[in-house]
Amino acid sequence: MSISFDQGEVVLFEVRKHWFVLVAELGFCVLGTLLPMVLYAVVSVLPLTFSTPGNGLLLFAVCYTFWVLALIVVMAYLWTDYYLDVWVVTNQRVIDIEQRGLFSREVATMQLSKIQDIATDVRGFIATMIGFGDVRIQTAGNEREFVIRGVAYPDKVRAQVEAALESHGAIAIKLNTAGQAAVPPGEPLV
Amino acid sequence: MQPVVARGADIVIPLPITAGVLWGVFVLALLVVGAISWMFVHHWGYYGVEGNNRVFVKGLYFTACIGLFVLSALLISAYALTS
Repeated sequence: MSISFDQGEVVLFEVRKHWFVLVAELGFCVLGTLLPMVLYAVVSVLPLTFSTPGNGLLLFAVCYTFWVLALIVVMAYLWTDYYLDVWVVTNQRVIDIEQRGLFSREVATMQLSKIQDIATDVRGFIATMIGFGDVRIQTAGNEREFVIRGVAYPDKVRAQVEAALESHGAIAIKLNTAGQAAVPPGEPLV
Repeated sequence: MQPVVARGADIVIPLPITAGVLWGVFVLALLVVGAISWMFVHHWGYYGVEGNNRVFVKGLYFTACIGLFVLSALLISAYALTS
């Protein structure tokens, strides 16, 4: 694990994107396995004959195997990107790990006490029905905003971060759900 | 590739792909997939993909890859026999 934790720091929970986000991406790969079949069907009705040194159908099968192999690698890449893109919430801070492909990884931390706004944003029919959306955490200063997109049940995540804040001494927090008025600091949390 | 040649009603497209060419592609694919797989295993191990997930994904991934390589080797061999 590349993250080092301070003494007394405890991991409370991890936040990942919703499984639907991964399945939607993998779905394109699964559909991609049908592409050569479609091409084969289209070419077979055209007035074309391919002259090959060996059996043409075997040549197609070899090419198809390589194609599926490439798709398997792409799927493993997508899963790796999905799994390693995570928020780790501890009793002291939020660690935002953003994996971009295999060679780019950004790790940023935000102390719980510095959190000012937590906003959730659920857009669209599918996102509403399945229950995924974006969660944003902001500080009062000019520090970067933490955003995790396509997270499962963003309202639950917000509540969990909020509970972590309450139980670990953060007092001034203003929650701002998209479309709702902000709760002033000191007000009871919803 | 040879230019498209018209013969009778059909257009004949020569594909001079021999078994040797396919074996070359096979070795290249083996090297590329091997290198990428090494990077996957490193990422899954170093960045803390948890025990069960790692075993499952590794098992699924390597079973699929090895299976497809074996299948493609068999198919290339069969193609070579028909050449």
